[in-house]
Amino acid sequence: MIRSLRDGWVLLAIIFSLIVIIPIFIIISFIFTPQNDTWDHLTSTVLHGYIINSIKIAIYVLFTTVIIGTVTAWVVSVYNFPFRKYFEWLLILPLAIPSYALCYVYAEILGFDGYINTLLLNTLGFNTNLLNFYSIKGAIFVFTFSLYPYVYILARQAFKDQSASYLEIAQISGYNLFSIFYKTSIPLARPAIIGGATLVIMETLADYGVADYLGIDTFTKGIYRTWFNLGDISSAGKLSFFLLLTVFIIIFIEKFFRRGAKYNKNIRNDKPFIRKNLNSFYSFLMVLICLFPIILGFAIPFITLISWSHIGFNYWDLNAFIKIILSSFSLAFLAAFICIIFAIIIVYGLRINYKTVSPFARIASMGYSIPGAVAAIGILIPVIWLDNLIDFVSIKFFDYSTGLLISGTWAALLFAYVVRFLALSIQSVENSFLRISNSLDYAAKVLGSSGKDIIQNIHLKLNISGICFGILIVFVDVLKELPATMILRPYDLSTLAIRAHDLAMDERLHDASLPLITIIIVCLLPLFIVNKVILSDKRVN
Amino acid sequence: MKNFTKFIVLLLITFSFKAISEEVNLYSARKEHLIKPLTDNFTEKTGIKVNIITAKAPQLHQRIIREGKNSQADVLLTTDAGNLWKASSENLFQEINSNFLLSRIPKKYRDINNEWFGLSLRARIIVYSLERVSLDELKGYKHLSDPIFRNRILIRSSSNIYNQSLIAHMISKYGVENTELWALGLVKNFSREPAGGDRDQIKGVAAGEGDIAIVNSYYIAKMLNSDNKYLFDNLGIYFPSDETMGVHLNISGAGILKHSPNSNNGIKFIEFLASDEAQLIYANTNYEYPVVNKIKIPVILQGFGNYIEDNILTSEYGRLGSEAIKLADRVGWK
Repeated sequence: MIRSLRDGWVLLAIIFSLIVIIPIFIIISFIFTPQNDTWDHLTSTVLHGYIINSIKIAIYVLFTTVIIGTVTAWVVSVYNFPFRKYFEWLLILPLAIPSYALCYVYAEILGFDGYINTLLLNTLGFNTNLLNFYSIKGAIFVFTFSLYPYVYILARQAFKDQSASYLEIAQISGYNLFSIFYKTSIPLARPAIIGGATLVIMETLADYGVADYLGIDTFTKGIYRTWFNLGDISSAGKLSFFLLLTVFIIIFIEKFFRRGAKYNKNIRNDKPFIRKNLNSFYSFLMVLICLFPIILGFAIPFITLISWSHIGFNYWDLNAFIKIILSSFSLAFLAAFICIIFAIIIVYGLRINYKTVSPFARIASMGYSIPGAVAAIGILIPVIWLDNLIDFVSIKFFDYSTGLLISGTWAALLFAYVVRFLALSIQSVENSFLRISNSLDYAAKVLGSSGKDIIQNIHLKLNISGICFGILIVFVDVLKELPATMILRPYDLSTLAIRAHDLAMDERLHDASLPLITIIIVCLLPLFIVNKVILSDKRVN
Repeated sequence: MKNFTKFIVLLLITFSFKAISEEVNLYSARKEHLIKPLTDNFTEKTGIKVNIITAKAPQLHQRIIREGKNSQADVLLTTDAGNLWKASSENLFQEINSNFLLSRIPKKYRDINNEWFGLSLRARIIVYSLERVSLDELKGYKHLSDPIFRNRILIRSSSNIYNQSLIAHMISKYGVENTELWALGLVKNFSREPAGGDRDQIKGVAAGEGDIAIVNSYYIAKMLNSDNKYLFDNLGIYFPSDETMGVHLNISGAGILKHSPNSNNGIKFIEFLASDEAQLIYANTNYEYPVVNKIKIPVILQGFGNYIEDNILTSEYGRLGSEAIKLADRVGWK
């Protein structure tokens, strides 16, 4: 075997992981600062509340998203019913809507002067605030319908891949489709489902916007409060450490369940599964099952925003609007591109030498669970340190102050996005890598291909769908990202998300609807494209 | 390596756009759409370009600290005296020499050492249901913990700086122990757990979820001037004060940062904000009370009537800010 090249790749994977790990370590390092008054205060008053609320929300959301995601994925993969083809991609759409947007819309609809209440007022004659959206239930609702697509997409991919033979054998043996679902397909799809569920939990734990708006004291909210309001960075760092620890445990559990089993599919004998036809009652049932998340997670918020937009038009100046779209767009694409490069290198390194690279890759993935603002500060520290170092050197040798080079430019912001979202790219690339048999690698090596060739000619082509998904998901998340962008952005760079958020917080939801709709539409386009790519991704012999 | 080259190119490009024209760099905790009329006006008058970064006040604060002496920020524009105090206590500001500002802005709304100047005022007031509350029930802030208000009070979370400043004010006036007792009573009087912003509390009163809301004056002013004003017909407005404590006023203000590269332009900008024109914008667009005397306030604020403000130095809000947050945590004010 070509030892040096293998080692070279592994080293590269480790280096790339380290770049991302540095800010995480900085945050973790705060655990070693001495305890102070603030920390004692936190532990004796609010800490257990933070933990309980966060865990409650995370567990409920895990439960609901896995059910909705897996059931819809199964239904759409295995049965034939009217509009099935449309539902397949419609079910992804909620991904395009930021969770805070979902939050604003439903709080408004269900709120005091919202549609529901006004309807009640007109028909029944009185006003009430029956449905209190500002609660943990509200948060669970928001996260469920905005995050289930993570599970859906990965599960659907897994079901698609499952060899028709497994299913047909099971059918011949007399099991009905439901028990096949339960006994065969789910276990086979377990890595995908667990992968999706992990993303959901991490995103839920890292959220600030929804918890802030609905007034819920979650762990992340506690971190923000301690860091920014109490001004105690070291205590906030300690809280962040515990958050990361929790996520680390979750990831560890996930990997433990995946360990050993190589879920590489046997590419050779794939034939498409012929979907089962249903009678009209069951068809109707399937349609309802699919409609439910689509309507709640996409249709209602989108239509509501559109209905508000005609007012927003007065507020927006066309030039300014185009400028914002261009900056948001390019920022998101650049970040996604950089993330996928990192991810491919790291995942390939994992493939060569799992044992060595894995710890680095896992720690690098933890960035996803760091709340945006915490990540931003974690990055600000080394970046400014670097800037000051360069400045110091430059003054010493050239008597010229370079000022702040990196911080306050796109570079710092992009760095933050990579730290935050690398996990997504790794998760999606890794998932599709699982589908490539190792024997393909060995065969190629025997025939004389170098590592680089293998990546370029074979893996990339076979993994187009995983890579596209990885790019898409980071693109969408960066477009929606708020807190890190607010802290790190350079002058005059505003994003759609920031403008929308500011307006919404000022209760100018009608004005905010335009940038929100733009985010959604811009996110929809790539969603369609990638969906087509995933659907048409044929297995190659 | 392609990655790295891109990185370098980006760096060079961004760095190469050095200022050719006059400009001033503004770090603003006030949202973009609120200050845009002001900055646009300023640029039109003076030709100086205003570069804006908006973020929440504490985030801006952290960023400025981290950036240190290489920070490009000229002006910090923020709401809440507490934030201004924090910045000056950490030596982020430089002294401003401006006779214009000294003459326009009353002493109690500016820093003793001229490190920051208040530019607009807001009061934290009571909005109450005319049907369910009689005027003689309403006195000063300290009476809000009385049992007669059990399950009747609506207020937002203690994580919001406006409440923290109110608590800080109470601490400065009555001491920590008394304020803690007060806060305990207040929390018992909540009609629901704090959720939403000030506007949601007002809507709550209108919907019958509570009888009294504690909010900033400009919110109710805006709502009474909006299309939905008929929803708030049955609400009254009260500026709480009693024999020991007057109305809790807070300010939004600005200062020049220590390492400001364009400090002269920065001072010009702050002076502009204290001009008649800008003060009128503050009053008429955002319904805040101008800090400069003799500026005409909009009709709706005139309708609120006069009030007796407390004689505290607003810098106290900052000094006692952390204490206030911890107190809120101890009494369970979420």
